[in-house]
Amino acid sequence: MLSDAELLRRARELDTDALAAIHDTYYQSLYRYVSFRISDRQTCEDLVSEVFMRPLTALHQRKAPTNNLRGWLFGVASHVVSDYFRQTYHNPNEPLNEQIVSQAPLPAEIAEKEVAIEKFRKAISTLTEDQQHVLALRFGENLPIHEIAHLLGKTEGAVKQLQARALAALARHLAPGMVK
Amino acid sequence: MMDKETLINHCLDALAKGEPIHEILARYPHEAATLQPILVVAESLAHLATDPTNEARIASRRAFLRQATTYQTRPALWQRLALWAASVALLILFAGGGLNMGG
Repeated sequence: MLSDAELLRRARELDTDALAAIHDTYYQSLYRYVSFRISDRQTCEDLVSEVFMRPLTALHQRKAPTNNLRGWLFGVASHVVSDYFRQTYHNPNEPLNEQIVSQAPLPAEIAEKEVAIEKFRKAISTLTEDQQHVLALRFGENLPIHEIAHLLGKTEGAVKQLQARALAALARHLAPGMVK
Repeated sequence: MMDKETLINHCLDALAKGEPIHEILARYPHEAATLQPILVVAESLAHLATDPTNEARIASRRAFLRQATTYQTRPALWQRLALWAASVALLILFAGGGLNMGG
């Protein structure tokens, strides 16, 4: 299996095998990252496709980085999700979660769970961009702190601080009065 | 005494190692009320992301490689500019040569 650096070098030449390998290696991780922040499955699929399309343009224009492929792709994913939120903020027609709007009546327990998940995502969207990015990598992709620090070019202490502050803010939002 | 952020991170490390919330809280009884909702939120976040379908993965891969093919056949802007500059240089060279021969 090729290293990320070698994959990136070959991808800069738009080598089809390298591009296919990048897609195969990162699709699942990037999908989980996006789905951590967005509920609608179709929207997630569209956005993850966009996450792969943007680097292609950069590779073609020779603007791609020479290392940290993984960090680059997650950075693109973060921008794609932010752009999506910015767009839906100005043009609020975000599709509802397909499981919530399913025609078949949902058992109350599932419906309640879905509502709770929506509440979570809404609360997450109130955090800073950096905090959302860290939480999605930590809890969506289950990456260890040191790896997140490497991806973001930050110290482990800075990532831990972002994580702690984000969780405290979320808990304040979701359980007001319990967290000081 | 630990500051609050360090304490939260200690608890999160323990949670990530699989320690149950009630056992973590038992170590910090004075802070338990504050820590409990944070740890519950952290535990819930782990279930938020979903996995893609195979159909979506295949469709995305196909679209990605199709788009790559269009770039492979189309020269980048810097290549088009270089080609244009080379053509102009050649034209000037030939035109200059022609004038010299004529003169």
